[in-house]
Amino acid sequence: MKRIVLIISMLICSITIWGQDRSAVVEKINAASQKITSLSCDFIQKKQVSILDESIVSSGKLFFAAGNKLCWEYIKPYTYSFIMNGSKVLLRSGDSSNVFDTKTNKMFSQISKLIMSGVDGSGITDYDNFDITVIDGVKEVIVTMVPKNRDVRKMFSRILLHFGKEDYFVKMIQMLEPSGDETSIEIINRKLNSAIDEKVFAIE
Amino acid sequence: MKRCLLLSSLLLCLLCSCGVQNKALGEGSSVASQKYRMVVTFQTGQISGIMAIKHTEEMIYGTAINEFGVKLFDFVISGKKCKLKNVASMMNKWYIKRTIAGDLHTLFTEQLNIYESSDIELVNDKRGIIYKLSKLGE
Repeated sequence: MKRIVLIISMLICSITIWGQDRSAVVEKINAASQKITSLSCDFIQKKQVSILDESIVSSGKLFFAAGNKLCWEYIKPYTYSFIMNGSKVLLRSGDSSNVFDTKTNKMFSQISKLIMSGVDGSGITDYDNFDITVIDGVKEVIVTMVPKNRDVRKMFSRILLHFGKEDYFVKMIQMLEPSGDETSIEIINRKLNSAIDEKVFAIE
Repeated sequence: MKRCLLLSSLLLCLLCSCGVQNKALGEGSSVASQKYRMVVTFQTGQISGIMAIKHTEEMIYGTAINEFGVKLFDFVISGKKCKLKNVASMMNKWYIKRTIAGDLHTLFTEQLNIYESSDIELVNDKRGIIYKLSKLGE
């Protein structure tokens, strides 16, 4: 009986410590993300396809500025741009381009929310839309987000955000699909709070 | 003892079947995949992204993903059949799957110059669908 009480006490203690750690880590990530007024970086996207037993790799540039401005530009092996400015989204592929409104287009609203939550870290406190767990590791913090929305869950079973412990900024986003395939987006050559030409976010 | 033997046999069967499955994938993985920029135009819209395929002697495995890496569908072509798997919810309707499966089968088994050409186009006049594939460099 004493042994059971001891185990239960230890368990309660560990849960309490976990809870404190988690909120402290989340605060650090939030504090770091609040410092971001702009971000420019390169990214490498790897799509692991189980049916082919290999990865499809693409890369490009990402620009982010306060006010819901995002430019997600693929350069290799094809050119493709996803530009968000406020509620407007521009998709540019080769010579053709299309403009959508995230207020009326549910899919783009979800995609833009997912991208933004990964880039600025806001997803880690989006408890309305995700079940969130935080693992505070030695070199990185891994936030696992399980979508609550059934439609999103059909696309992604889990989304993992990896934050470096040196600065608490997101350095990799992993999106796991129900099929077992996985997409990882690694963020490199990051520049914070430097001036970005407004033309980058222009939607015409 | 009988139960133990039965369990052992079941375990062996399971391991053997796994071995066969891995061998099939292994054969496929020895061949490099071919990647295409893909644009599929429907009467009501368009989907674009990457299509990648891989051959074995008897099968063609393929996948279609959008630019963000989100899967649209996987497919397997074997003989006269093409089967779509892991289809995105927006396309997961039997008539869409049947049409795309038929078109992919035509594209990868009946278009004779598909593996030499860098740009391929298939038009499904009946359904008003245009498939455009452009070979991607490494």
